[in-house]
Amino acid sequence: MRNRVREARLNRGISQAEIAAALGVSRQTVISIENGRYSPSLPLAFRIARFFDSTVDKMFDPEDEVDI
Amino acid sequence: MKSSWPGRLTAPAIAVIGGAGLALADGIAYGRTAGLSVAVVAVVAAIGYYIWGGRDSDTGAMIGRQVDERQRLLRMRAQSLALLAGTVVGLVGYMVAVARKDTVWPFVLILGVEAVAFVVGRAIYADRDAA
Repeated sequence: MRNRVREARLNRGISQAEIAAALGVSRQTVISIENGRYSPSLPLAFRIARFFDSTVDKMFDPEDEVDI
Repeated sequence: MKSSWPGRLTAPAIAVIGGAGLALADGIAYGRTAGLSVAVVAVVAAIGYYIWGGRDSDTGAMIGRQVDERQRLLRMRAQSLALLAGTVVGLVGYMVAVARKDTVWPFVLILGVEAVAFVVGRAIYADRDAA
């Protein structure tokens, strides 16, 4: 799943470790999310969106990878 | 109520307790030197687990019992693969034991426990979040 986490983080000028601490996840998980290797759970996606004063649909783009 | 037991000590504690049991069994079967050797390995393993559990890595988080949702999923998948490997080994072992007219009950026990654990696991976790 494509996302704008890296872009938003760089715009704020914060490190992966800082956002990891703020979200209560590991730095490795932030790296995985930024690289699109891990799709966060809905609660974490909301936490990420709130952290960047954004919304989930603005932060995450499911493309055509919607699994139902 | 949250436990005050530090998660990082769990794996070392298991290594020490398990190691003590193995050392005792080994000591009874093969003598004091053999038992002491196992005890030393267990202590070294416990120290290793403690150090590893403090590292900033996925494995460190798993050993230190401070996993986030992705690491929990990773651990679950790894455990699932380990269970699958155990089942395959149990099945192959059972077939070899039958062919050799050897004791089969340990393999039946392994496969039976796995099957029961699977059913119980399904019942316990059916209504819980995956993460």
